[in-house]
Amino acid sequence: MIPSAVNEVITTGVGHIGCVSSNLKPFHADTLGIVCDPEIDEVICFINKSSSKAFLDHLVVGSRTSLFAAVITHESYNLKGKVTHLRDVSADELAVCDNLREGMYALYNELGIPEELAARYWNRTPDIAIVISVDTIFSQTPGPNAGKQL
Amino acid sequence: MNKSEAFELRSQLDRRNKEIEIIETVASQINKTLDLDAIAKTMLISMDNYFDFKHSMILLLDQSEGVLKVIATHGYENDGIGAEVAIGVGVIGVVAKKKKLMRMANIGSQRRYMESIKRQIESNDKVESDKDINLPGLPNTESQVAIPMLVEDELIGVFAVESDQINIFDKSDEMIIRILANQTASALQNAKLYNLEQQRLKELDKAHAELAELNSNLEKKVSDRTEELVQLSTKLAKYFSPQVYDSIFSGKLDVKIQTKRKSLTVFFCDLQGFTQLTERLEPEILTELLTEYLTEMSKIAIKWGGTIDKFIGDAILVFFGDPETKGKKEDALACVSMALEMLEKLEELRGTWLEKGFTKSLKARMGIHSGFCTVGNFGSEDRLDYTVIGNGVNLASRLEGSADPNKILISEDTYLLVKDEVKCLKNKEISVKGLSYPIQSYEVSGFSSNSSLYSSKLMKSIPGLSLQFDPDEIEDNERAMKLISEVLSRLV
Amino acid sequence: MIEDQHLPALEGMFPSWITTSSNGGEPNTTVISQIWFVSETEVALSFQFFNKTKKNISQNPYAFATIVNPASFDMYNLELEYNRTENDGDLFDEMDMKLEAIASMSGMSGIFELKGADIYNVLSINKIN
Repeated sequence: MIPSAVNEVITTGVGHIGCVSSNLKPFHADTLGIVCDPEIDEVICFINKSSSKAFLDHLVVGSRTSLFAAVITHESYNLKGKVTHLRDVSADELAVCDNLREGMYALYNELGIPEELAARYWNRTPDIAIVISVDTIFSQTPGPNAGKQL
Repeated sequence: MNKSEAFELRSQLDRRNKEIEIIETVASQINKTLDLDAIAKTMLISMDNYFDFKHSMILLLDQSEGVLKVIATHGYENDGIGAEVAIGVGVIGVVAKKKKLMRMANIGSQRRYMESIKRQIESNDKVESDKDINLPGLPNTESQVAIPMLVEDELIGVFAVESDQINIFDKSDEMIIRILANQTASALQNAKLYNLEQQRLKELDKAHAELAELNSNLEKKVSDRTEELVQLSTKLAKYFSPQVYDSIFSGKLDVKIQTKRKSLTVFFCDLQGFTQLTERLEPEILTELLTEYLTEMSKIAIKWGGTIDKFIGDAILVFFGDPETKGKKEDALACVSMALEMLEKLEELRGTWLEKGFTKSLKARMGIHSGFCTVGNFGSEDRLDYTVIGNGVNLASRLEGSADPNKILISEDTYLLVKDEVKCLKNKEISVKGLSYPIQSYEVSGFSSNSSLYSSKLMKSIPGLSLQFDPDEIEDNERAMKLISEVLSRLV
Repeated sequence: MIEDQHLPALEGMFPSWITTSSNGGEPNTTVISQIWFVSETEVALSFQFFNKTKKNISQNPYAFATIVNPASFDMYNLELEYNRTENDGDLFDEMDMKLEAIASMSGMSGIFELKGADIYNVLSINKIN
């Protein structure tokens, strides 16, 4: 059961997903959108292939992953799990990503970052979906509770 | 190298040259003056004019208080002069502490990050951590460059520029600030030292003036004090026998509990029947009588060098041999001579008192003993009595008590010392408490005719008859004898 | 390796993210406020508390980081290998001063203690956007 606070952060914040190669080298990529099925502890991340080459080269079904997500207030979580499968992004899921992108542009705008710059990160097309089964969640909000398992 | 690269290089060079020119101009302006405030202000204004640093301040280290104080600002609503920054607090405080330049580009976001952690700590521990520190400068500052101003590695202050725009300062800004800050540091240090010197000169003058006044006051104080002391010692003198007084004031006699055993001649004397008088006479008359008696007796004691120990009503205790001694024999002789003269004086006094209408005849009894006694300061720490005690004193007192009226009774010890000069008659044996054997006493009748003290003079008076006889003065023996015969014939 | 265009991304103007791995192949991805420039071939991370990243590095020295140039939003991936930790020197002082300046402004002096500057060799650097 993924707590609602975690759900909120992963679906509205910035995310980065990491994996480890067979020869123990770490890699990561940026998520451009996340959907969550809290009941079954499932999380699906959408990433852009061309800017995530190093990561994808070393990701297979069964790979252990670490998903870090944070919102502007610095509330953050780390979800550990493993890849159950990889597939294309559906139209609905694309819409989710569009939504997130718009939200991010608005947020960055408030912070004084113009859309052209924000677009260099957020205007990447999500073209692969990574389905993850989550087994442990840690709080990563900076402070005395960072690293605590939920 | 292609055309555009060359052009780029060229403009960079131009910029550098311009910057150097500006730095030189500003530096020379700063170094023209010794006025601290002028130096500071010039620098800040120049920074804005030439390099577009819109908000800046200079702080100087106050060494005595260990804080930085704002001495000049530029580009703020409130000039903030005098505001303080503690060492180690904020960008300026940390720069002062570490004596290293610091450049911050996004203070806002970093502070927000800190704040979120702070809130968590507060909610976790349910405590309130320290309030935000109030620092001088822009409230929404984002970019800041702060540089320590050092002279020979000693911190004299901090120079800081800031902006509410993120990441507005770059490496070349750092360099310019560094150069100008060093220039300003030297100039400020010189100005500060100059000011300090002026201050010190002022203080020195003040100190001189105060000293001169103190000196003149001191002289007056000393003379006032001396006057007080003279008055005091004059009063004190009345309470001490002169020898003791002199000894004390010359420092020879130390005023602390200190006694020694010495060979002394002790003299006791009292007036027979005096006690009954005190019950019958009026106090004024009694006082007059006693004063006259004691004064006359004291004069004689002093004349012969005795130390008047005390008066107890009409009784007198005098001793010879301390603080000064002329030798055992001489002391004893002086004491006996004193006693004889006292008897003579008493006879005179009886005459004057009779004329005043005082009919009761007062007779003296005297006792003298020579021997070891303990003499010195006796008493408590706060009240000392210079006196003599011991068996010798007791014996002198017993002798006095056993003497016949108007007679002097001396001990065998004294007799042995004075027998060459003084004629004595063997008298009774006296037993004294503390002595296992009785003491032989002798009654003094006068000086031996071969004694240097023997005086052929005679001065006697009784009611109705006064006799003054000095054989050396008589020119006509016959006439003298005729006078006496006349008196005799009338008496018979 | 590290060139002029990378430098603005190493000033802490925009966060960086880093992934490390345990000896058993378990990844840990996290965000940090700054990766510091040390030299053409070295970068540094400030070590304040002993966290998962530090624990992983003690088992497996490899790390993967992304830095962002705040002016252009150019993004770079760096492959890193832990080299050593410094407890004094210019870099340590720079980290320490920055930490202390911000902490003290919020009245939190002494709560954060810089334990060291962890120096990493840069194995590769690649632009990703």
